[in-house]
Amino acid sequence: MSKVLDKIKKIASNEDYSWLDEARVRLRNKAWRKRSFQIAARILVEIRRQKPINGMTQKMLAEKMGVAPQYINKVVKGKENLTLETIAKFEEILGITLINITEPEVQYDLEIQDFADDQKISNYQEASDSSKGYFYKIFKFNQEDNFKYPIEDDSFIPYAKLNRNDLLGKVKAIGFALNKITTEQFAVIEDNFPQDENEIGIGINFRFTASKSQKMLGVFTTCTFQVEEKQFLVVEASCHFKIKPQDWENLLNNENNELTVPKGLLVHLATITVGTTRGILHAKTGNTSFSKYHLPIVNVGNIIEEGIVFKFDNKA
Amino acid sequence: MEIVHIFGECLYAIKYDGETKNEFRRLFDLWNDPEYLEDFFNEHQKDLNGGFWNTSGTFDAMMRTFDYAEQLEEQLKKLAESKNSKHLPGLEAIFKNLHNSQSSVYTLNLSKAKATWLRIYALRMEKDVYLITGGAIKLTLLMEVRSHTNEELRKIKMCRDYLLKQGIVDHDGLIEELEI
Repeated sequence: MSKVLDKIKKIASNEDYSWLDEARVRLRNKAWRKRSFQIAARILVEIRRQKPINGMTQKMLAEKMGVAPQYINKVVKGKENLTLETIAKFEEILGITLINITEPEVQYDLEIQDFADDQKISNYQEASDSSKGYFYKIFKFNQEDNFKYPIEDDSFIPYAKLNRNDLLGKVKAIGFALNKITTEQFAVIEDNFPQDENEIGIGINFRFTASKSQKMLGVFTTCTFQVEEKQFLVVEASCHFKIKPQDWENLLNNENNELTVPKGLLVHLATITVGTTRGILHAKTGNTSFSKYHLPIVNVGNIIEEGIVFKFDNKA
Repeated sequence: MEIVHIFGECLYAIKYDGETKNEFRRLFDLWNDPEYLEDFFNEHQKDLNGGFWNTSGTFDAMMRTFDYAEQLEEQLKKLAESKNSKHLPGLEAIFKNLHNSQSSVYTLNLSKAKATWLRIYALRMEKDVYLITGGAIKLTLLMEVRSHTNEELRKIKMCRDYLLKQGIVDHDGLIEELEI
Protein backbone atom coordinates (compact mmCIF):
# COMPACT_ATOMS: atom_id res chain seq x y z
CA MET A 1 0.00 0.00 0.00
CA SER A 2 1.29 3.44 -0.85
CA LYS A 3 2.18 5.99 1.78
CA VAL A 4 -0.43 8.43 0.57
CA LEU A 5 -3.15 5.83 0.45
CA ASP A 6 -2.26 4.72 3.95
CA LYS A 7 -2.52 8.28 5.24
CA ILE A 8 -5.81 8.93 3.44
CA LYS A 9 -7.32 5.80 4.89
CA LYS A 10 -6.45 6.97 8.36
CA ILE A 11 -7.82 10.44 7.72
CA ALA A 12 -11.00 9.39 5.92
CA SER A 13 -13.91 9.84 8.26
CA ASN A 14 -16.00 7.02 6.89
CA GLU A 15 -17.12 5.38 3.72
CA ASP A 16 -20.14 6.18 1.64
CA TYR A 17 -20.86 3.53 -0.96
CA SER A 18 -24.44 4.57 -1.59
CA TRP A 19 -23.61 6.20 -4.92
CA LEU A 20 -23.22 2.78 -6.55
CA ASP A 21 -26.61 1.60 -5.27
CA GLU A 22 -28.21 4.85 -6.38
CA ALA A 23 -26.57 4.56 -9.79
CA ARG A 24 -27.80 1.01 -10.20
CA VAL A 25 -31.38 2.06 -9.41
CA ARG A 26 -31.18 5.03 -11.78
CA LEU A 27 -29.81 2.98 -14.63
CA ARG A 28 -32.14 0.05 -14.06
CA ASN A 29 -35.17 2.33 -14.29
CA LYS A 30 -33.85 4.64 -16.94
CA ALA A 31 -36.68 4.14 -19.43
CA TRP A 32 -39.53 5.46 -17.31
CA ARG A 33 -37.23 7.79 -15.39
CA LYS A 34 -36.36 9.59 -18.57
CA ARG A 35 -40.05 10.05 -19.30
CA SER A 36 -40.68 11.32 -15.79
CA PHE A 37 -37.73 13.71 -16.15
CA GLN A 38 -39.02 14.89 -19.51
CA ILE A 39 -42.47 15.59 -18.09
CA ALA A 40 -41.00 17.41 -15.11
CA ALA A 41 -38.80 19.49 -17.40
CA ARG A 42 -41.73 20.41 -19.61
CA ILE A 43 -43.90 21.37 -16.65
CA LEU A 44 -41.16 23.55 -15.15
CA VAL A 45 -40.47 25.34 -18.41
CA GLU A 46 -44.19 25.93 -18.90
CA ILE A 47 -44.70 27.29 -15.36
CA ARG A 48 -41.89 29.77 -15.98
CA ARG A 49 -43.43 30.75 -19.31
CA GLN A 50 -46.90 31.27 -17.86
CA LYS A 51 -45.81 33.08 -14.73
CA PRO A 52 -45.73 36.60 -16.22
CA ILE A 53 -49.02 35.92 -18.01
CA ASN A 54 -51.25 34.43 -15.33
CA GLY A 55 -49.01 34.29 -12.25
CA MET A 56 -48.57 30.51 -12.51
CA THR A 57 -46.50 28.90 -9.77
CA GLN A 58 -46.08 25.39 -8.45
CA LYS A 59 -48.46 26.30 -5.63
CA MET A 60 -51.13 27.56 -8.06
CA LEU A 61 -50.72 24.44 -10.15
CA ALA A 62 -51.25 22.31 -7.04
CA GLU A 63 -54.47 24.20 -6.26
CA LYS A 64 -55.79 23.74 -9.77
CA MET A 65 -54.87 20.05 -9.72
CA GLY A 66 -56.51 19.63 -6.32
CA VAL A 67 -53.34 18.19 -4.80
CA ALA A 68 -50.91 19.20 -2.08
CA PRO A 69 -47.98 21.44 -3.13
CA GLN A 70 -45.62 18.72 -1.89
CA TYR A 71 -46.95 16.45 -4.60
CA ILE A 72 -46.12 18.96 -7.33
CA ASN A 73 -42.70 19.32 -5.79
CA LYS A 74 -42.20 15.57 -6.09
CA VAL A 75 -43.36 15.57 -9.70
CA VAL A 76 -40.96 18.33 -10.71
CA LYS A 77 -38.09 16.37 -9.19
CA GLY A 78 -38.62 13.90 -12.02
CA LYS A 79 -38.85 10.80 -9.88
CA GLU A 80 -42.56 10.08 -10.01
CA ASN A 81 -43.97 7.22 -12.04
CA LEU A 82 -47.02 9.22 -13.09
CA THR A 83 -50.38 7.77 -14.00
CA LEU A 84 -52.00 8.60 -17.32
CA GLU A 85 -54.77 10.33 -15.41
CA THR A 86 -52.32 12.66 -13.69
CA ILE A 87 -50.50 13.37 -16.94
CA ALA A 88 -53.79 14.19 -18.65
CA LYS A 89 -54.66 16.59 -15.83
CA PHE A 90 -51.35 18.42 -16.17
CA GLU A 91 -51.91 18.69 -19.91
CA GLU A 92 -55.38 20.12 -19.45
CA ILE A 93 -54.47 22.65 -16.78
CA LEU A 94 -51.26 23.88 -18.39
CA GLY A 95 -52.58 23.62 -21.93
CA ILE A 96 -49.64 21.58 -23.16
CA THR A 97 -49.00 18.15 -24.59
CA LEU A 98 -46.82 15.90 -22.50
CA ILE A 99 -47.32 12.67 -24.35
CA ASN A 100 -47.62 12.63 -28.11
CA ILE A 101 -48.35 9.35 -29.82
CA THR A 102 -48.16 9.44 -33.59
CA GLU A 103 -49.81 7.18 -36.09
CA PRO A 104 -47.67 4.31 -37.24
CA GLU A 105 -46.17 4.84 -40.63
CA VAL A 106 -44.50 2.56 -43.01
CA GLN A 107 -41.81 4.38 -44.80
CA TYR A 108 -39.25 3.28 -47.26
CA ASP A 109 -36.26 5.06 -48.63
CA LEU A 110 -35.55 5.37 -52.27
CA GLU A 111 -31.88 5.46 -52.97
CA ILE A 112 -30.28 6.93 -56.00
CA GLN A 113 -27.48 4.75 -57.17
CA ASP A 114 -24.77 5.46 -59.64
CA PHE A 115 -24.33 2.88 -62.34
CA ALA A 116 -21.08 2.35 -64.14
CA ASP A 117 -21.03 3.42 -67.77
CA ASP A 118 -20.98 -0.11 -69.06
CA GLN A 119 -24.24 -0.82 -67.29
CA LYS A 120 -26.16 1.96 -68.99
CA ILE A 121 -28.57 0.75 -71.61
CA SER A 122 -29.86 3.09 -74.25
CA ASN A 123 -32.77 1.06 -75.58
CA TYR A 124 -35.00 -1.54 -74.14
CA GLN A 125 -37.95 -3.54 -75.20
CA GLU A 126 -41.27 -2.47 -73.91
CA ALA A 127 -43.44 -5.07 -72.32
CA SER A 128 -46.65 -6.01 -74.04
CA ASP A 129 -49.68 -3.71 -74.06
CA SER A 130 -51.25 -5.48 -71.15
CA SER A 131 -48.40 -4.26 -69.00
CA LYS A 132 -49.09 -0.56 -69.26
CA GLY A 133 -50.95 1.56 -66.75
CA TYR A 134 -52.75 4.83 -67.47
CA PHE A 135 -53.71 7.64 -65.15
CA TYR A 136 -55.32 10.89 -66.17
CA LYS A 137 -56.46 14.09 -64.57
CA ILE A 138 -57.59 17.51 -65.81
CA PHE A 139 -56.83 20.71 -63.96
CA LYS A 140 -58.55 23.99 -64.56
CA PHE A 141 -56.90 27.37 -64.09
CA ASN A 142 -57.92 30.94 -64.30
CA GLN A 143 -55.79 32.54 -66.98
CA GLU A 144 -56.01 36.00 -65.40
CA ASP A 145 -54.17 34.72 -62.36
CA ASN A 146 -51.44 33.37 -64.55
CA PHE A 147 -52.05 29.80 -63.45
CA LYS A 148 -51.23 30.52 -59.84
CA TYR A 149 -54.60 29.66 -58.37
CA PRO A 150 -56.23 26.49 -59.52
CA ILE A 151 -59.96 26.10 -59.52
CA GLU A 152 -59.52 22.62 -58.11
CA ASP A 153 -57.79 23.35 -54.83
CA ASP A 154 -56.21 19.98 -54.27
CA SER A 155 -54.06 20.37 -57.34
CA PHE A 156 -51.50 22.51 -55.58
CA ILE A 157 -50.45 20.40 -52.66
CA PRO A 158 -46.71 20.16 -53.26
CA TYR A 159 -45.03 16.81 -53.49
CA ALA A 160 -43.41 16.36 -50.08
CA LYS A 161 -42.37 12.98 -48.74
CA LEU A 162 -43.05 9.35 -49.37
CA ASN A 163 -45.21 7.65 -46.81
CA ARG A 164 -47.00 4.71 -48.20
CA ASN A 165 -48.79 1.95 -46.39
CA ASP A 166 -49.61 -0.05 -49.45
CA LEU A 167 -46.16 -1.45 -49.95
CA LEU A 168 -46.48 -5.08 -50.84
CA GLY A 169 -44.22 -7.64 -49.33
CA LYS A 170 -41.26 -6.68 -47.20
CA VAL A 171 -39.43 -4.43 -49.60
CA LYS A 172 -38.00 -1.55 -47.67
CA ALA A 173 -35.82 0.16 -50.23
CA ILE A 174 -35.81 0.32 -54.00
CA GLY A 175 -32.71 1.55 -55.76
CA PHE A 176 -33.05 3.15 -59.16
CA ALA A 177 -31.04 5.17 -61.62
CA LEU A 178 -32.18 7.53 -64.34
CA ASN A 179 -31.02 5.98 -67.54
CA LYS A 180 -32.58 8.02 -70.34
CA ILE A 181 -34.78 11.03 -71.05
CA THR A 182 -36.72 11.38 -74.28
CA THR A 183 -38.89 14.14 -75.64
CA GLU A 184 -41.63 12.00 -77.11
CA GLN A 185 -43.65 14.82 -78.68
CA PHE A 186 -44.09 18.55 -78.70
CA ALA A 187 -46.87 20.19 -80.67
CA VAL A 188 -48.51 23.60 -80.91
CA ILE A 189 -51.92 23.82 -82.56
CA GLU A 190 -52.26 27.50 -83.34
CA ASP A 191 -55.85 27.28 -84.57
CA ASN A 192 -56.90 26.28 -81.07
CA PHE A 193 -54.90 28.98 -79.33
CA PRO A 194 -57.07 30.67 -76.67
CA GLN A 195 -58.28 34.17 -77.49
CA ASP A 196 -60.65 35.43 -74.86
CA GLU A 197 -61.28 32.37 -72.81
CA ASN A 198 -60.38 32.57 -69.13
CA GLU A 199 -60.46 28.94 -68.35
CA ILE A 200 -57.52 26.85 -69.52
CA GLY A 201 -57.55 23.17 -68.89
CA ILE A 202 -54.32 21.25 -68.31
CA GLY A 203 -54.42 17.51 -68.68
CA ILE A 204 -51.80 15.27 -67.12
CA ASN A 205 -51.50 11.72 -68.29
CA PHE A 206 -49.11 9.07 -66.99
CA ARG A 207 -48.23 5.89 -68.76
CA PHE A 208 -45.93 3.24 -67.35
CA THR A 209 -43.99 0.49 -69.02
CA ALA A 210 -41.73 -2.24 -67.74
CA SER A 211 -39.06 -4.42 -69.26
CA LYS A 212 -38.24 -7.68 -67.51
CA SER A 213 -35.05 -8.38 -69.40
CA GLN A 214 -33.63 -4.90 -68.83
CA LYS A 215 -35.07 -4.48 -65.34
CA MET A 216 -36.32 -1.05 -66.31
CA LEU A 217 -39.38 1.06 -65.74
CA GLY A 218 -40.49 3.75 -68.14
CA VAL A 219 -42.65 6.71 -67.21
CA PHE A 220 -44.33 8.74 -69.93
CA THR A 221 -45.90 12.04 -68.99
CA THR A 222 -48.16 13.83 -71.40
CA CYS A 223 -49.23 17.36 -70.66
CA THR A 224 -51.93 18.98 -72.76
CA PHE A 225 -53.19 22.55 -72.62
CA GLN A 226 -56.73 23.00 -73.88
CA VAL A 227 -59.61 25.37 -74.15
CA GLU A 228 -63.10 23.92 -74.34
CA GLU A 229 -61.50 20.52 -74.82
CA LYS A 230 -59.51 21.70 -77.83
CA GLN A 231 -55.81 21.11 -77.34
CA PHE A 232 -53.50 23.92 -78.33
CA LEU A 233 -50.23 22.75 -76.73
CA VAL A 234 -48.99 19.21 -76.15
CA VAL A 235 -45.75 18.02 -74.64
CA GLU A 236 -44.81 14.46 -73.83
CA ALA A 237 -41.59 13.33 -72.22
CA SER A 238 -40.39 10.06 -70.85
CA CYS A 239 -37.87 9.02 -68.24
CA HIS A 240 -36.48 5.54 -68.14
CA PHE A 241 -35.24 4.11 -64.88
CA LYS A 242 -33.01 1.16 -64.27
CA ILE A 243 -34.00 -0.65 -61.11
CA LYS A 244 -31.32 -2.15 -58.87
CA PRO A 245 -31.29 -5.86 -59.74
CA GLN A 246 -31.81 -7.20 -56.24
CA ASP A 247 -34.68 -4.81 -55.62
CA TRP A 248 -36.21 -5.78 -58.96
CA GLU A 249 -36.12 -9.40 -57.82
CA ASN A 250 -37.98 -8.44 -54.65
CA LEU A 251 -40.77 -6.96 -56.76
CA LEU A 252 -40.89 -9.81 -59.25
CA ASN A 253 -43.02 -12.91 -58.88
CA ASN A 254 -41.27 -15.44 -61.08
CA GLU A 255 -44.02 -18.00 -60.76
CA ASN A 256 -46.69 -15.76 -62.25
CA ASN A 257 -44.25 -13.71 -64.31
CA GLU A 258 -45.58 -10.54 -62.71
CA LEU A 259 -43.90 -7.38 -61.47
CA THR A 260 -45.68 -5.55 -58.66
CA VAL A 261 -44.68 -1.92 -58.49
CA PRO A 262 -45.98 -0.12 -55.42
CA LYS A 263 -47.80 3.17 -55.72
CA GLY A 264 -45.08 5.00 -53.82
CA LEU A 265 -42.43 4.13 -56.39
CA LEU A 266 -44.73 5.05 -59.28
CA VAL A 267 -45.47 8.41 -57.66
CA HIS A 268 -41.79 9.11 -57.09
CA LEU A 269 -40.72 8.23 -60.61
CA ALA A 270 -43.69 10.10 -62.06
CA THR A 271 -42.78 13.18 -60.06
CA ILE A 272 -39.28 13.13 -61.50
CA THR A 273 -40.76 12.76 -64.96
CA VAL A 274 -43.22 15.63 -64.43
CA GLY A 275 -40.29 17.85 -63.49
CA THR A 276 -38.44 16.76 -66.60
CA THR A 277 -41.49 17.45 -68.75
CA ARG A 278 -41.86 20.86 -67.16
CA GLY A 279 -38.30 21.67 -68.10
CA ILE A 280 -38.68 20.46 -71.65
CA LEU A 281 -41.86 22.56 -72.09
CA HIS A 282 -40.06 25.59 -70.73
CA ALA A 283 -37.10 25.07 -73.04
CA LYS A 284 -39.33 24.54 -76.08
CA THR A 285 -41.56 27.58 -75.50
CA GLY A 286 -38.95 30.05 -74.37
CA ASN A 287 -39.13 33.41 -76.21
CA THR A 288 -42.44 32.46 -77.85
CA SER A 289 -46.01 33.53 -77.17
CA PHE A 290 -46.50 30.15 -75.49
CA SER A 291 -43.90 30.80 -72.82
CA LYS A 292 -46.52 31.84 -70.31
CA TYR A 293 -47.85 28.30 -70.21
CA HIS A 294 -45.95 26.20 -67.75
CA LEU A 295 -46.70 22.90 -66.10
CA PRO A 296 -47.78 23.78 -62.55
CA ILE A 297 -46.95 21.82 -59.40
CA VAL A 298 -49.16 18.78 -59.26
CA ASN A 299 -49.91 16.32 -56.53
CA VAL A 300 -48.92 13.18 -58.37
CA GLY A 301 -50.14 11.10 -55.46
CA ASN A 302 -53.68 12.25 -56.17
CA ILE A 303 -53.46 11.21 -59.80
CA ILE A 304 -51.82 7.81 -59.43
CA GLU A 305 -54.32 5.94 -57.39
CA GLU A 306 -52.69 2.59 -56.92
CA GLY A 307 -49.68 0.44 -57.71
CA ILE A 308 -49.41 -1.58 -60.90
CA VAL A 309 -48.97 -5.26 -61.51
CA PHE A 310 -47.16 -5.72 -64.80
CA LYS A 311 -47.93 -9.05 -66.39
CA PHE A 312 -45.10 -10.11 -68.63
CA ASP A 313 -45.79 -12.55 -71.42
CA ASN A 314 -43.42 -15.48 -71.59
CA LYS A 315 -41.26 -13.86 -74.26
CA ALA A 316 -40.45 -10.76 -72.13
CA MET B 1 -14.60 19.17 5.53
CA GLU B 2 -14.21 15.39 5.46
CA ILE B 3 -12.65 12.84 3.15
CA VAL B 4 -15.00 10.00 2.33
CA HIS B 5 -14.16 6.72 0.62
CA ILE B 6 -16.60 6.13 -2.26
CA PHE B 7 -15.50 3.05 -4.19
CA GLY B 8 -12.48 1.00 -5.18
CA GLU B 9 -9.47 1.25 -2.98
CA CYS B 10 -8.31 4.63 -4.13
CA LEU B 11 -11.27 6.84 -5.00
CA TYR B 12 -12.29 9.37 -2.40
CA ALA B 13 -14.50 12.42 -2.32
CA ILE B 14 -14.77 15.49 -0.17
CA LYS B 15 -17.83 16.19 1.92
CA TYR B 16 -17.92 19.90 2.66
CA ASP B 17 -19.18 21.39 5.90
CA GLY B 18 -22.91 21.97 5.77
CA GLU B 19 -23.50 19.37 3.04
CA THR B 20 -25.32 16.11 3.73
CA LYS B 21 -23.66 14.23 0.86
CA ASN B 22 -20.16 13.89 -0.50
CA GLU B 23 -19.45 15.74 -3.73
CA PHE B 24 -19.70 12.67 -5.92
CA ARG B 25 -23.23 11.79 -4.82
CA ARG B 26 -24.27 15.43 -4.66
CA LEU B 27 -23.28 16.02 -8.26
CA PHE B 28 -25.29 13.11 -9.65
CA ASP B 29 -28.26 14.16 -7.56
CA LEU B 30 -28.07 17.67 -9.00
CA TRP B 31 -27.65 16.49 -12.57
CA ASN B 32 -30.77 14.37 -12.24
CA ASP B 33 -32.81 17.15 -10.62
CA PRO B 34 -35.03 18.91 -13.17
CA GLU B 35 -35.78 21.78 -10.80
CA TYR B 36 -32.10 22.54 -10.25
CA LEU B 37 -31.32 22.24 -13.95
CA GLU B 38 -34.21 24.44 -15.05
CA ASP B 39 -33.05 27.20 -12.71
CA PHE B 40 -29.44 26.76 -13.78
CA PHE B 41 -30.03 26.87 -17.52
CA ASN B 42 -32.48 29.73 -17.21
CA GLU B 43 -29.74 31.68 -15.45
CA HIS B 44 -27.13 30.72 -18.05
CA GLN B 45 -29.24 31.18 -21.20
CA LYS B 46 -26.63 33.32 -22.88
CA ASP B 47 -23.97 30.65 -22.53
CA LEU B 48 -26.37 28.08 -23.98
CA ASN B 49 -27.14 30.26 -26.95
CA GLY B 50 -23.49 31.19 -27.35
CA GLY B 51 -23.16 29.02 -30.41
CA PHE B 52 -20.80 26.27 -29.34
CA TRP B 53 -23.43 24.05 -27.78
CA ASN B 54 -26.14 24.58 -30.37
CA THR B 55 -29.06 23.97 -28.03
CA SER B 56 -32.61 24.96 -28.73
CA GLY B 57 -33.26 26.20 -25.19
CA THR B 58 -33.67 25.22 -21.58
CA PHE B 59 -35.71 22.07 -22.18
CA ASP B 60 -33.19 20.76 -24.70
CA ALA B 61 -30.32 21.53 -22.31
CA MET B 62 -32.06 19.72 -19.48
CA MET B 63 -32.61 16.59 -21.57
CA ARG B 64 -29.00 16.66 -22.76
CA THR B 65 -27.80 16.85 -19.17
CA PHE B 66 -29.93 13.85 -18.30
CA ASP B 67 -28.32 11.89 -21.13
CA TYR B 68 -24.78 13.04 -20.32
CA ALA B 69 -25.22 12.13 -16.64
CA GLU B 70 -26.55 8.72 -17.58
CA GLN B 71 -23.58 8.02 -19.86
CA LEU B 72 -21.11 9.13 -17.23
CA GLU B 73 -22.75 7.11 -14.52
CA GLU B 74 -22.83 4.04 -16.78
CA GLN B 75 -19.11 4.39 -17.39
CA LEU B 76 -18.26 4.79 -13.70
CA LYS B 77 -20.58 1.98 -12.65
CA LYS B 78 -18.78 -0.39 -15.05
CA LEU B 79 -15.52 0.64 -13.49
CA ALA B 80 -16.82 0.16 -9.97
CA GLU B 81 -18.19 -3.29 -10.82
CA SER B 82 -15.22 -4.50 -12.85
CA LYS B 83 -12.81 -7.24 -11.77
CA ASN B 84 -10.20 -4.61 -11.07
CA SER B 85 -12.55 -2.46 -9.09
CA LYS B 86 -10.15 -2.48 -6.19
CA HIS B 87 -7.40 -0.68 -8.02
CA LEU B 88 -9.52 1.01 -10.69
CA PRO B 89 -6.98 1.07 -13.51
CA GLY B 90 -9.63 2.54 -15.80
CA LEU B 91 -9.63 5.79 -13.83
CA GLU B 92 -6.41 6.80 -15.52
CA ALA B 93 -8.16 6.65 -18.87
CA ILE B 94 -11.04 8.86 -17.93
CA PHE B 95 -9.28 11.59 -15.97
CA LYS B 96 -7.38 14.23 -17.85
CA ASN B 97 -5.28 17.22 -16.89
CA LEU B 98 -7.29 20.37 -16.18
CA HIS B 99 -4.73 22.80 -17.43
CA ASN B 100 -2.40 22.46 -20.37
CA SER B 101 0.61 22.99 -18.23
CA GLN B 102 2.19 21.61 -15.12
CA SER B 103 -0.68 21.00 -12.83
CA SER B 104 -2.03 18.46 -10.50
CA VAL B 105 -5.71 18.96 -11.11
CA TYR B 106 -7.67 16.63 -13.28
CA THR B 107 -11.08 16.69 -14.83
CA LEU B 108 -13.14 13.62 -15.42
CA ASN B 109 -13.38 13.22 -19.12
CA LEU B 110 -16.41 11.31 -20.29
CA SER B 111 -15.10 10.40 -23.65
CA LYS B 112 -12.76 11.87 -26.20
CA ALA B 113 -15.35 11.48 -28.90
CA LYS B 114 -18.33 13.14 -27.25
CA ALA B 115 -18.71 16.73 -26.17
CA THR B 116 -20.34 17.07 -22.77
CA TRP B 117 -20.64 19.98 -20.39
CA LEU B 118 -20.49 17.87 -17.22
CA ARG B 119 -17.24 18.06 -15.27
CA ILE B 120 -15.97 16.28 -12.17
CA TYR B 121 -12.81 17.74 -10.64
CA ALA B 122 -10.28 15.72 -8.70
CA LEU B 123 -6.85 15.85 -7.17
CA ARG B 124 -4.53 12.94 -7.83
CA MET B 125 -1.78 11.95 -5.47
CA GLU B 126 0.96 9.46 -6.22
CA LYS B 127 0.00 7.08 -8.97
CA ASP B 128 -3.54 6.17 -8.27
CA VAL B 129 -5.16 7.96 -5.37
CA TYR B 130 -7.93 10.31 -6.43
CA LEU B 131 -9.83 12.83 -4.36
CA ILE B 132 -12.94 14.31 -5.93
CA THR B 133 -13.28 17.95 -4.98
CA GLY B 134 -16.38 18.94 -6.88
CA GLY B 135 -17.93 19.32 -10.30
CA ALA B 136 -19.95 21.62 -12.49
CA ILE B 137 -21.89 22.16 -15.67
CA LYS B 138 -19.24 23.98 -17.65
CA LEU B 139 -20.66 26.00 -20.51
CA THR B 140 -17.71 28.32 -21.06
CA LEU B 141 -14.15 27.70 -22.14
CA LEU B 142 -12.57 29.17 -19.02
CA MET B 143 -13.62 28.36 -15.48
CA GLU B 144 -12.68 31.80 -14.21
CA VAL B 145 -15.35 33.62 -16.18
CA ARG B 146 -18.36 32.19 -14.33
CA SER B 147 -18.98 32.25 -10.62
CA HIS B 148 -20.08 28.62 -10.32
CA THR B 149 -16.97 27.25 -12.07
CA ASN B 150 -14.75 29.79 -10.36
CA GLU B 151 -16.10 28.39 -7.12
CA GLU B 152 -14.80 24.96 -8.19
CA LEU B 153 -11.33 26.43 -8.59
CA ARG B 154 -11.61 27.79 -5.09
CA LYS B 155 -12.66 24.37 -3.77
CA ILE B 156 -9.74 22.72 -5.57
CA LYS B 157 -7.30 25.09 -3.89
CA MET B 158 -9.01 24.60 -0.55
CA CYS B 159 -8.66 20.80 -0.87
CA ARG B 160 -5.06 21.04 -1.94
CA ASP B 161 -4.32 23.15 1.12
CA TYR B 162 -6.20 20.63 3.25
CA LEU B 163 -4.10 17.73 1.94
CA LEU B 164 -0.93 19.60 2.72
CA LYS B 165 -2.17 20.64 6.14
CA GLN B 166 -3.16 17.05 7.01
CA GLY B 167 0.26 15.83 5.91
CA ILE B 168 -1.18 13.51 3.28
CA VAL B 169 1.32 14.94 0.85
CA ASP B 170 4.45 16.81 1.84
CA HIS B 171 4.32 19.34 -0.93
CA ASP B 172 2.66 20.10 -4.22
CA GLY B 173 5.48 18.58 -6.18
CA LEU B 174 4.62 15.09 -4.97
CA ILE B 175 1.35 15.23 -6.85
CA GLU B 176 2.05 13.81 -10.26
CA GLU B 177 1.09 15.50 -13.43
CA LEU B 178 -0.74 13.44 -15.88
CA GLU B 179 -1.89 13.94 -19.41
CA ILE B 180 -4.61 11.85 -20.88
